[in-house]
Amino acid sequence: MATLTLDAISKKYPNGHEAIKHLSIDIADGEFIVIVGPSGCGKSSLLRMLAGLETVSSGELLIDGNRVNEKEPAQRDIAMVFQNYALYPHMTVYDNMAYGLKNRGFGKQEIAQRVERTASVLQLDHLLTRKPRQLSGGQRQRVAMGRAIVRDPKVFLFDEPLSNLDAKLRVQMRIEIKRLQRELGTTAVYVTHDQIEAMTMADRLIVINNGAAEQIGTPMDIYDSPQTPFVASFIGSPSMNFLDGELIGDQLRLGSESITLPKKHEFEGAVKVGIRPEHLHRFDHDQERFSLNLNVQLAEPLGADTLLHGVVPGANGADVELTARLRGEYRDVSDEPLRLGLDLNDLHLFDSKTDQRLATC
Amino acid sequence: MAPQLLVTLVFFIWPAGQAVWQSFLVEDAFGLSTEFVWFENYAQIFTDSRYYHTLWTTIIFSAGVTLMSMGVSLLLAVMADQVVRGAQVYKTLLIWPYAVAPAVAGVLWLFMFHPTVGVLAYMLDTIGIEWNHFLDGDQALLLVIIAAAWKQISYNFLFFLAGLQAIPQSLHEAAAIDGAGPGRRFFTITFPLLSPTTFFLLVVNVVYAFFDTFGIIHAVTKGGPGDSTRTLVYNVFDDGFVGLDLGGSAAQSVVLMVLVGLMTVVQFRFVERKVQY
Ligand SMILES: Nc1ncnc2c1ncn2[C@@H]1O[C@H](COP(=O)(O)OP(=O)(O)OP(=O)(O)O)[C@@H](O)[C@H]1O
Ligand SMILES: [Mg+2]
Repeated sequence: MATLTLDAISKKYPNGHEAIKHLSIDIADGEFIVIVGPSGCGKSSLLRMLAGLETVSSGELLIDGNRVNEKEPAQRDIAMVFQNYALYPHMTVYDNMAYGLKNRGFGKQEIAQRVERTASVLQLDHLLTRKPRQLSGGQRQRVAMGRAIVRDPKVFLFDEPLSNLDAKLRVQMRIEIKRLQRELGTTAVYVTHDQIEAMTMADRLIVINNGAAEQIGTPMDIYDSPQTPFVASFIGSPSMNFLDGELIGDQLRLGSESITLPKKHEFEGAVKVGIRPEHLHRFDHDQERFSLNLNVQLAEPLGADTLLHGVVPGANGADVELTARLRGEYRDVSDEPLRLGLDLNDLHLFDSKTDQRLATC
Repeated sequence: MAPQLLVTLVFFIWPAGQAVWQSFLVEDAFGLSTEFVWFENYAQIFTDSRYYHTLWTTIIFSAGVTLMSMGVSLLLAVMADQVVRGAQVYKTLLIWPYAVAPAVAGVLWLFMFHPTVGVLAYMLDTIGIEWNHFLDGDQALLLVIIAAAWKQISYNFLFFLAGLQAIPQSLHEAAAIDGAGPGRRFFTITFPLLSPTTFFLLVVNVVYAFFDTFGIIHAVTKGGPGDSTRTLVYNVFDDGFVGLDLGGSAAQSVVLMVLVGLMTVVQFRFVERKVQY
């Protein structure tokens, strides 16, 4: 159990590539932090710096208030679960879990006790004498978890630990990891590019783009008020739609329409208008002040909802692609465009030049 | 007929059969007449005390060559593995000694260790070691061991390096996080994971030392001084092609074959089981 402080951490590889740029965050004791971002954005680089597998190029890294920049991985008292599990193939499940304890000079009895306790928590009791190659993917994943837990470290680090599992097992393990972390109260940093994992597991999210933290906050904060179009399109599924518009006073020009916004902004000029697919619904004449005409090209029924993909007329008559998520089944077969409505409070506005969310006043 | 069978037949069974047949014959010095003598050649081998001495020399020689060539190449491979991890250039550069014919390698060593003109002999002399492998049997044996091991190093090196590179980086990292220092990591992770490669190389190197080294010995010491570097395979060569005792030489080579066959069986039965994971 520990706090973790990252103070303007940067990583520059010898080839000059800057993988992480001035990232700062204070992580509280017992917090579950998820690092999310597209492939190659520097998630693993960041995690490996925390683990001590990569050097920190600049900035300061503190565990429990002590600087650990120069400490070896072994001295940091962290445990890491790797994407490929990295189980020792020549050791039994028992030895895999006991290895870290042996290296740290624990007594035989203490080791046996700890391994057995961990094994029963993870339901690995009957597998202790097996070698990793005799286990299923899910069981290997559990052993990797066990190896991390058994040492009772200060911090857990996870690098996409579920990406090799099938969809069902992934959901199951996701819940299990979260539950275990809660029970143990161990601070955890978890890397993923799966936004559902990110939303469901995190106490706080770090959304990384190109090595820089674009936004740090609770999942719902980030969902409700994404700071940039990148964050907005990365969190939420399907992705947010963007239309080009212009803001003049409280009037938003969108295509040929002009809409009066409920909130005022201190900004005039070109804006990106973000609309989440799930915020669109069938147009209702009584309430709406705004509508979009969607030419539906493809409908994907999900059961409870239906995803509609199509185009809406944008500025200058050009078509803009748009996705909507409607409740229930979509049975409209007419060639007429579908009229969609939206609560204007659900619009997200970003400055087209700076890509920053517009503040309301 | 399966091609493998054909190859085995042409390149192994047939010459082996020839050797077995030869070993029952005695040929006169001019090669004019042969006589079938049953096991007389074998009886001669096993009553010859010189032959047992040769056997002992062979054991020391083979153990020395295997240990040295594998030890040095493992050391080099571990160092190279840390440097390259993926790069290809080093490997191609380091393969060259293997391409050098054994005799050339032997001559090279002979030259460097030559008591009067050799560089290494001179250097040894300056630190107070008098080097003369023409007179000192132990030094001569050491020299042929080094020379024979040297030739095998690049081959072993490549296999060790490939074996090391097949170990995922994340295993080293997991072990480092698990609190194992570099030395401990080597003995508890790297070496056990390398054991299939090590076993394979052990078989190859022992066979090499037993069978494939008469060229080097011939070039460096010619089995001398005395019989100090006379190994079984050199003896086969010397008795057969120099001494022209074809029957005796054939009998010796049959004994050698049986010996290596037995050793290989033993290695596979008792060692191989331990190296799988
Ligand atoms: N050892 C290295 N030397 C140079 N560049 C590197 C090194 N390791 C990673 N990089 C680069 O740094 C960037 C970030 O890599 P990183 O592995 O952290 O990405 P990631 O976010 O984990 O991606 P993924 O989701 O695909 O795992 C990439 O552009 C990568 O090419
Ligand atoms: Mg990664």
